[in-house]
Amino acid sequence: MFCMKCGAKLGEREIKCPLCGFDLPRLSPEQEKSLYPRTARPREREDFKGLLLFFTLLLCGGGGAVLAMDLSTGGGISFSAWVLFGLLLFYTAFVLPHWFRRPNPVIFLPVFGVCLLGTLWYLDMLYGSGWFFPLVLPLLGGFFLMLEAVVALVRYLRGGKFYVYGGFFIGLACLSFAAELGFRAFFRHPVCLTWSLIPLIMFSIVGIGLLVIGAVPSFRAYVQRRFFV
Amino acid sequence: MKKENKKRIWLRLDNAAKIFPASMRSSWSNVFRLSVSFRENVDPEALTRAAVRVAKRFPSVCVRLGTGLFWYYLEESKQAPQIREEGCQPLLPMRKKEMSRIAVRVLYYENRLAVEFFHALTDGSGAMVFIKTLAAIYLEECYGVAFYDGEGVLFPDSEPDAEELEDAFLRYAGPTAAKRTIPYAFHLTGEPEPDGFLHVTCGTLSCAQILAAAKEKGVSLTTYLSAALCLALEKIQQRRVAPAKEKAVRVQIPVNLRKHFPSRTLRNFVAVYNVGMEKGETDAEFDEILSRIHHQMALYNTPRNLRAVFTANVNSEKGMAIRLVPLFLKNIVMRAVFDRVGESLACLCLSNLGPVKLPKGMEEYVTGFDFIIGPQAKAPYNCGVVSYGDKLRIHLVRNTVEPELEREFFTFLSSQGLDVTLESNER
Repeated sequence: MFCMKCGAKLGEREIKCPLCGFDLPRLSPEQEKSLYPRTARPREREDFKGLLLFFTLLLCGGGGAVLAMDLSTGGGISFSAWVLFGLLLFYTAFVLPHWFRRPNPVIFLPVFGVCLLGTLWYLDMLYGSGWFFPLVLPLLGGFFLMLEAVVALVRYLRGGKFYVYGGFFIGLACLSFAAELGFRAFFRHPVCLTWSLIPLIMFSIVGIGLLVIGAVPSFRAYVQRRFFV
Repeated sequence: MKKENKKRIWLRLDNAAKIFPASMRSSWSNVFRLSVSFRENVDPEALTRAAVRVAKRFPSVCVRLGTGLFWYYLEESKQAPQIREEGCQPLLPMRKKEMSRIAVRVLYYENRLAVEFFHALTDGSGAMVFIKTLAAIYLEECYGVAFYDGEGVLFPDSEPDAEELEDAFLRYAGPTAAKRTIPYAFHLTGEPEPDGFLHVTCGTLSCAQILAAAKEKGVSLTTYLSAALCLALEKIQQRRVAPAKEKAVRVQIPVNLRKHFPSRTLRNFVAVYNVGMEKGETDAEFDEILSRIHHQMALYNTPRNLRAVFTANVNSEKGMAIRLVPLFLKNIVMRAVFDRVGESLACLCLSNLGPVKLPKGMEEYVTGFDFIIGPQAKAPYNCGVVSYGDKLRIHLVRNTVEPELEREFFTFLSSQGLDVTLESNER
């Protein structure tokens, strides 16, 4: 048969012209058949909702039981804080994203970061150590900010991945440097660099290498030749 | 019993395959498909038995994709491919979880048996041997007839030859590596289908008719089809892009290297080159495009040039520095390079498997073959061609709403006096 709109010659089973989109009248019993089944394919992704609900209830129940035990024995919150925050971190990292069909790491990464920092802040307050604001918040917060930036840029930018990953590795190099300085300042040790030199050099080399590949077209072409037919 | 205790075969990815796992993502993986149609509807039980037998004969195809510290690897699968009924569209992306069990799918629908392969396992020629052997075993299971006398059909009960498992790139790599960079090509775009639906448009032509048309112009069939695609791409570019910003329109042509470098490998042994019109020449007429592509093919499709092209890749694999980089870092670099340049040098790929021949007697049971390659990661189109008997089947796939390229391409073929019948999975 022929399309009545564009004149294309079509197979007997067609119900719509693939060239102009014209809906063809159903005149032939052959049109009930098709090149592929017309039923929608069931999604390959298994439905984990029941399992997720079970896990959620299990974690809530377990956490509640530990809290009740702690309160009844000690009269306040002590060891249960570790358990409850551990469960919270496990839940935000491994269970919560699976409730969504396409979990977006740009959202779930900061959620996990905030939970982790909140946990550490609480534990710091619980024991009165005072390491959270001078040490953990700038270092771990900085790491999560960098990671979030990389994830968001890679997800939403079409190009520039060499720059993004290169920047991330250089950021890691700086962070390792800052980490040693931070530890030494906090514990009042003499200011010098020892263990942080290895990650500083390694990450810097990788980062600068990626930036150079991104910036120099001839080098990029070389990498292209190396990896592609 | 002895066979069950046999140690499973373990293979490094061949040279061409290394990029495929690194470049895959949740919504895209490099998958292609071959299908064979029979006179009668497929019997799933016989097909299940046939799949078990074929899995033993093809340990390099029925494999799982494993992740190592430095490279991905392939390992013979514990299980035969599971037989499934087809859905409304072919070539659903294969996810890593699926590939970690087995990276090949066997599907059936009415009288059609289809196999979908992750490209890291094999190329079109290896896949054709696999599906022809599977079809022959299936016919034996159904009708008790055996067709194992060549034409790419292997004996199912024989042991796989070591040469079938070889990475032939390594055997044939020469001393000289090609150094050739070309500017980016026009990037086909379109509004993506909201649910990721893959449109498949199949044009069926008479082989004799189109070969006569190509012969009249003094070119090969692949040249003729490439030129028709380039002309269609030119027209689309002219509509969308200002003349000053026009880019080259190119089509990527894979070459079966077995024709130049004898090998019986069933793994990837393919190289690609790009043909088409460069920037500033994209208002050319059909005959001009034909002439240019004809000469480009003569230039590129030579053993010396192809050897130099794949030698460059083999050399990179041999470098100790690259081998020692952990896989996650390799993935970052390979994926970034793939996103930036992997698909930017051509608008789409035109893969022509050529004529399919079957052992005597088997033709009575088989009515046709189809070859479909999945769309590119960031460009919506791709094109697979295969012929059987007098039927040439051209499959254009796209994952966008508007059938712009199909319209231009098939309308042009019709305007040349060719009789094109279109089929599709339009809903």
